[in-house]
Amino acid sequence: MTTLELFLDGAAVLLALAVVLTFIRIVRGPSLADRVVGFELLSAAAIGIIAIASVRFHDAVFIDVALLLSLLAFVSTVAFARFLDRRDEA
Amino acid sequence: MIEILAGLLIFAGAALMAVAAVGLLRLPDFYLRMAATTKATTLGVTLMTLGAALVFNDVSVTARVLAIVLFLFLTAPIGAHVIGRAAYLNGVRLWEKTVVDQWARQPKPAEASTTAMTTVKPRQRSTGRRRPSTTKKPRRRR
Repeated sequence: MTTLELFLDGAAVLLALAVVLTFIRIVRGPSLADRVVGFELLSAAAIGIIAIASVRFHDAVFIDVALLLSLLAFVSTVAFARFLDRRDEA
Repeated sequence: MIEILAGLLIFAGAALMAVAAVGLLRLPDFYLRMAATTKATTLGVTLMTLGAALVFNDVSVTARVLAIVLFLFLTAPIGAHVIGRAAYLNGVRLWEKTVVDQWARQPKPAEASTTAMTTVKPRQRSTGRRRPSTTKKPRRRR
């Protein structure tokens, strides 16, 4: 096991911890905005996991997936914010 | 050597992400949670993808990673601002130890949003909801 693989496994463990804590906040979150922020953090953690996987599997195609995910996360955050804005006026 | 540096970058990014998750779970207020997660995840994703680019050592991968980083630096503050504004206008409570609330004295936050930054008054400490939530806010069109 090389040093790089050791670092990658440690990073994967930390990201798994981050995902678990974020899910606790999403379940508990008193408002919908808390859940949206949790979703944002989840997508960021997914980007990190994809970066780890691309290094681990020696496949650069996964970086494209990370790029697409970062685009989609922003759009969905803005869409949720608009939904929050307009929810009580319909 | 360069692999150890890349591993350190990826590990530091993941550690920042874990710190952001702890902040999301532990901080007392939606706005504090939003600030913590936005800043920490921006730097975390940047460090992790830069570490991957260092490992691959390829022009196309580096270009894509730089695109991710640039896009993230552009959109993360916008997303945080938009969701924080929507939460405030929806009446999400501030922490009771919040020092300043610049929209507190404005009767209609939707229309005062352009002038609130210039007319800052010291606000007396009070508890409870800051925003008059019973008044129906006017529909904003842009």
